[in-house]
Amino acid sequence: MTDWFLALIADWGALALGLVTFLSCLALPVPSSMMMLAAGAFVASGDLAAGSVAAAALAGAVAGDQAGYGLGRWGYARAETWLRKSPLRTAVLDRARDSVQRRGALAVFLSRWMFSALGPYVNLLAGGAGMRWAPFTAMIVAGEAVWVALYIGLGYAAGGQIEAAAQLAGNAAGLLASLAVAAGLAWLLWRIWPRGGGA
Amino acid sequence: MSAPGRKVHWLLAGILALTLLAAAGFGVRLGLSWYHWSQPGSHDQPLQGWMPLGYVGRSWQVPPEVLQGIAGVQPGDGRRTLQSIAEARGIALDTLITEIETAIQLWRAQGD
Repeated sequence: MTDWFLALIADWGALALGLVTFLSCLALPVPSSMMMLAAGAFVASGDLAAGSVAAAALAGAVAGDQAGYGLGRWGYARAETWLRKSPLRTAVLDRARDSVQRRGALAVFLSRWMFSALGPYVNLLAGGAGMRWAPFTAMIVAGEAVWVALYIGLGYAAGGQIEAAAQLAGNAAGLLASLAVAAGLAWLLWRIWPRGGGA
Repeated sequence: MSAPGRKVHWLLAGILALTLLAAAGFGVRLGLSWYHWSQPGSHDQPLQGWMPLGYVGRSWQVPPEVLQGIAGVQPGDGRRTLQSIAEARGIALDTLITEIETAIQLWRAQGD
């Protein structure tokens, strides 16, 4: 299946890459990272042009993120009346929305490239929580630019060994993800671990 | 501290330990793949249909003109994947791959 996607990049170049990054930002199961690596390697071997590849990947990713954000907004608009029927839900909702609006920018930025598996869901959350469009878009563009540069750059450096580069990137991403989860769990435990005397 | 509360704490601690184990595993794999990457020597990636010719050249360190001659492709034909070259020439992909691999070995033996 991956071979089919790689052939797509080899045959259709930047256009296919833009489509793939768009779909991956909507959480569709396309191997976008692998294809970015391939595109980088094809730039290094002279089969594709760097400018159009980077531009297409970035445009596709940003468009996909905007779509996810719009979907989140639409979903919230549909559900809002129901959500606000209960005072408890309203309180929780407003706190969550406030939290996202005030501190969501960094999460949006990091979920583009450092924890990219979370990206599509952060889009929905940001839209649903009413994060303002301008800061959201700024973080999107900056974060996706890092992601594009990172993976295409890695593919470029990989030269003729895409599979080895993909292994490297996959293990690094796995390491980061598990460290992030561990940090979150450690923080949680620290917060709720019983202190002082007994019951 | 109530008993159920304690259980939750230990469960979380257990999951934390597992997560750290996973992180360690990824770290080891990362180290191994980094080592494998930095190894000089044979980096010839086995030929597959999706590979464009230029990519093959880079992987096997063969100049593009030589490879184009081997594959029977005109220069300036743009990027062509091995699959599409095989189809254009009306031969099986495996035939083309064997052809290219053999020709590359011959070319290397000439000591260019």
